[in-house]
Amino acid sequence: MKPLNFIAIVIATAIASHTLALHFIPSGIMNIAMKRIPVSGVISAEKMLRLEKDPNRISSRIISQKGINVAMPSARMDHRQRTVVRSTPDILYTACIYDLNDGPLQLTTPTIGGYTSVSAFADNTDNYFTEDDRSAISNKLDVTLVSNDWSGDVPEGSKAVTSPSEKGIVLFRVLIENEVDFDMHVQRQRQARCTTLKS
Amino acid sequence: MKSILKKIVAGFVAVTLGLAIGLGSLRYILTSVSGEIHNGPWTTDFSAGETDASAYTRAKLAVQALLAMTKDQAIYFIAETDSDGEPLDAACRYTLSGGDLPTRWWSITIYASDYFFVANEEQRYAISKSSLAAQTDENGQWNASINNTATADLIAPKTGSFSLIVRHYNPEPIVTNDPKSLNLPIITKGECK
Repeated sequence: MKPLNFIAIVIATAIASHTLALHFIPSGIMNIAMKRIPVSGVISAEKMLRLEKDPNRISSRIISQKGINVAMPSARMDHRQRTVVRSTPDILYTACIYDLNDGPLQLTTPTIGGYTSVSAFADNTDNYFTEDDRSAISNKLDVTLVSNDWSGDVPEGSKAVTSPSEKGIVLFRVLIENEVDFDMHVQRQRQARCTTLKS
Repeated sequence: MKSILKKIVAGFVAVTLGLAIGLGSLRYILTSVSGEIHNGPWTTDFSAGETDASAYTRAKLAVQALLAMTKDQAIYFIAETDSDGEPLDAACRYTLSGGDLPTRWWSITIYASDYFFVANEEQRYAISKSSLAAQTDENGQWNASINNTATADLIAPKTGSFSLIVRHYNPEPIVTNDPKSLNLPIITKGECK
């Protein structure tokens, strides 16, 4: 092989592999997170049963829906959590892996008691929507995610937001501002809901 | 026959070398801290999470801080060096010193080189506006220790490098308008083993 041909193959392969990997890494990592969060990011079913006064309320929904379009409150982050990088122990997270092929998804959470937010991330990691307790109406955040091709009415009082992708991740955040109020913050966290609206 | 075999081997070597250069350079870029805004050892990128972010910013965010929010909601300053520009090293002791920050709430979290929390039974992964209240003086100034002993405010890994993130939730306008003017915490290196 001529030296020039060798160099041309090296350069072409380097550019192609660099560009392709750059393009696919965000969606690839999001896909991994969407598969792992329902398994490892959520409170274990056993712990859920201990914590929940009505044991079937959240845990049975998560299991029956295989972790899709359902709010999954996580235990407080610690070093055993190996799903999402650079989380913080000061926030109680509730994840909702969504698939709008099943219909619009209504997201609700009360906002009394401190910083609360709901963020939506497209399947390429873009944070296309976030709203926090400062913009809450009647002490509640109420948002309905819809797909690009969806038409119809969202529930009264709910804000319609178009998702750029059919699938993605919603993350509710509840700030643990003071440790003495930890149980109250957990109760706040556990009231977040993701509900598919059937047509 | 020999000539064809030589060409195949040369082609294989060229493709392998190209893959190593292409993917190696990408890995280096995506694991480095190189935000567009610098303030002492701290750096941030205001386009992180935005829908018009560059392909590199988007991929870097996926690798280093998946599910981070955009600057309207939270701003994240990352440090991988001390205030003298030396890499943060688990073999050394550090003092973090600062005051209140212009935001609704802030915290500082320590991460091992794999971007996850440093394993420790004391669960000292973060300090915050709330947790530092008791050790803040009348001028609003505080000090916190970073090392790999059980008594540290932030427990570092036993070996290797680590990073810190200052989170600003609901930042005041000055954080985005003039980030270089912020008095972000100073990271001072003490003795090293």
